[in-house]
Amino acid sequence: MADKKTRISRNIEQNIAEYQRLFSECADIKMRRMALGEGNRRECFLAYVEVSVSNMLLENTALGRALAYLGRTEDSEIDRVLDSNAMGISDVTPFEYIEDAAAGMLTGDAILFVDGYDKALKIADKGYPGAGVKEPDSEKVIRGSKEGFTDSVKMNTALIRKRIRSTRVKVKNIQQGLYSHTLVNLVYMEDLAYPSVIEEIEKRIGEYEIDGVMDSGIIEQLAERKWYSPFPQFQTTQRPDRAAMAVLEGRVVVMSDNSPTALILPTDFNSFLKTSDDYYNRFEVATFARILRFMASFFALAFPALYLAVTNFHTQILPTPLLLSFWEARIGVPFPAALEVILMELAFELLREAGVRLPGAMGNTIGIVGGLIIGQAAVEANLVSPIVVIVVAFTALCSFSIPNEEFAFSFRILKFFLIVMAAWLGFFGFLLGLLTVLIHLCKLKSFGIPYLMPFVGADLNDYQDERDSIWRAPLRRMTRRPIYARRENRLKLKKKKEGNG
Amino acid sequence: MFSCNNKISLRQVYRLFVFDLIGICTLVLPAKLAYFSDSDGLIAILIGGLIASAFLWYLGRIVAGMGTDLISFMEQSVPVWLTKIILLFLSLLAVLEAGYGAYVFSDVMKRGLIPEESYTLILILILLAAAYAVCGGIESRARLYEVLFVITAVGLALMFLIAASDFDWSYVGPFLTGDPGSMVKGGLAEVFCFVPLFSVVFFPSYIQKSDEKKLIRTVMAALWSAVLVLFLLYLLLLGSFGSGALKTMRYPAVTLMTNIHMESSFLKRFDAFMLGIWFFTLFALINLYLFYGTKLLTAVFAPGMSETTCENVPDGHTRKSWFALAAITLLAFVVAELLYYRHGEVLFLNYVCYVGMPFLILFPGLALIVGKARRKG
Repeated sequence: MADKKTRISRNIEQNIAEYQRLFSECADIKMRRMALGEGNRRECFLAYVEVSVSNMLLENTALGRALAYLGRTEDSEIDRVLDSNAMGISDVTPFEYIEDAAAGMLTGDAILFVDGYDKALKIADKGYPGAGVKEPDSEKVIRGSKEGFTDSVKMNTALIRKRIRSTRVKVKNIQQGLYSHTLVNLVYMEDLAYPSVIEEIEKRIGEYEIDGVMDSGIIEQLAERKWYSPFPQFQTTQRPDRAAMAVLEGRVVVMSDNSPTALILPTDFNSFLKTSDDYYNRFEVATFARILRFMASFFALAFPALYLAVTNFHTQILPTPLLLSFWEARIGVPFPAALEVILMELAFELLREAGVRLPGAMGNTIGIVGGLIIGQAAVEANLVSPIVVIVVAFTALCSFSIPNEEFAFSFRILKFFLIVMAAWLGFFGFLLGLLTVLIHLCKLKSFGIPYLMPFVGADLNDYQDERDSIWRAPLRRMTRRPIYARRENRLKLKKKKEGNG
Repeated sequence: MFSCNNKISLRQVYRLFVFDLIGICTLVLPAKLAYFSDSDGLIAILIGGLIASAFLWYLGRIVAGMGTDLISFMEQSVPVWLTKIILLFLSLLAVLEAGYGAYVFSDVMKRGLIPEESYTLILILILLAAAYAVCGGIESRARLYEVLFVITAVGLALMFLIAASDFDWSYVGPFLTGDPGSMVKGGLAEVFCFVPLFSVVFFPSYIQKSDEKKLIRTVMAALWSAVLVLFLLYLLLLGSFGSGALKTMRYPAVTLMTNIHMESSFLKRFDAFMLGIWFFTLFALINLYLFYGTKLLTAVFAPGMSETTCENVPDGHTRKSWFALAAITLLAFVVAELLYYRHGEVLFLNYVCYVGMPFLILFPGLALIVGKARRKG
């Protein structure tokens, strides 16, 4: 919405009046008149968001030093000093319009108007309060950096820059949110990422006009094509090293202000089952962990359904002693096996949700209370059989092994679909459900990349991507970047010739 | 980048065709081979492989002569009215084959997994799943079988290994006791199961130009992979049951799975799991015919844009594709119901033998001749 903008006047009273009109009834916006210059004859006006600007003269900030410098400058020299940034401040932005100045101030910096000067200056200060760099709650690793993203997009970009010190890392700014004016950064490697992918994500981010973007999740949902799919089409991470690796693979990282979660695109099924420390550990360790995760993801989806199919429809498969054991365990249980499984799964989901919402120690306690006490009580009261408790618990363990929470959630949802199918039609229903999920995955793409890469289309990158899938090849054999990177720049590792230091 | 271009790789072509070919032939054919040729069914399989290879070679010559896929060639070179009639007839053939595939699928699943359930319910569910798979186009189909290929191959290999433990050489043979005609009959029965080979005439539009010369070689490799699987399976069946018992079974491979067991295995039986192999292979067959049936029917009503779903296809055409898909699926349902409740299997097989197969052999050659003559004229 392109409203008419008001040009900044040389008459400071006009600027003050307009600014006060814009921010009327804003108790958190502080406005201060001052007189600067050697003779204290140049009227100035400073506006800032309370809390985001420290005490300007007592603290050793850029703003404080700028004002102190201007206070010592001859009145007639102030315009020249401001034009040439003779104060030596690194982050000063001039604005020609009141509205732009207002928007600049709302990013957390201070705005300075000077009488007789036709621009307003945004001078950086401490900015809005935010959480510092700490280890992310999810994506914990045994080996690797313990840094996580913060709420500040500038900090987050810097964390990536810290890890890839190359001029080829590009950062594109986009503003989203009609009222929030949230800063969104696209980070990518210029010669690795496909321009078409960058254009596509820019186009998708710009497709919608929304009032506010509070988290990268809003951008994710608006930019997805198959919004109805339970599978995420963007990978998310709170780890700078993960994001940096993605950039080096030729992918694009999208970061939104006020969100510690970065989006990585394009993505595929395989990416969600990898962790950063897969690359920091030896290949045997990484391969074992990967195989475990793939098996875990299958069981997280299929185990309860398989249990129902076998025990309700195809008991001939099981050895007789085991069958009798199952039967014995179910004596006195009033519910059909399918209902038992569904109720236990729902109970577990409730426990998980409660554990997330409750703070700190209480969250841990709920796990013990729910798992041990309620589960045990339910078994002793013959409401559920112990076998179902084991099935549900094992399934839960498997879903916890999936590194990415959004991806694990899709398995948690689809598990119920398979349970219903298996309860209805046994192994046929199970296979049909599995086939439906597989068909959906085969149709899914993330920015042109088939979701099931590298299990499909592995020949597109000469089977190199298979070296980093369900198993991980020794690092010295992983010489090429994955399919996300531009074809002509896929070589990432080579041995130096002897004698070349 | 990798946007929807409706192209697949030769690796995907190979896996697609293997899936399309082994479904029916491993399920229904062994009993027929035993009926026609007894133990000489092994030789009949090889003869059938050779005949099918010749058919494939012929189709390869047709494709090379056309320079493009069959539908595009006909739209460009054959009179419109004739094109529509032929494509309509081909869609009818696809419907019948899809119906037959769905009938066999539903029958096997009902017998093997859920005998108490209704045949119609199973049929509806599998046709819906197959129609859903068609919506993704050739790329999605190819990806599906690319993923399933390894799982199915491992399952088959496992089944063969376990079944081999009960193998008895005394059941196999004697060979060359029947007349050559019986072996040829068996071979021809195999060729009728390899009707999906005909879909190679649609493939030039699905592969990169640079791969066109290798297309027939790839499909030939898929054909002989299917022949090898069939050969091994038939050998195992002979060694487990003998030809006398084999000819009385409806689905010998399924019976084999109910009988096999592994010493010191945790599970008593594997039949429910092994039926998964036929679940996916027969699904592939139904999916194949629904896909091409939809493609052909769409070409009849929307010539020039005969592709099913693709992101860059104009809206109006996509709607026609949906209607075509719905029509083909519904017709396949009707055929499958008739086959089951009216016992129309013999009628269907006679149709394939005396109408369908001859048409598929003669018409591409005629279309090529007419088209080239028209171009010269």
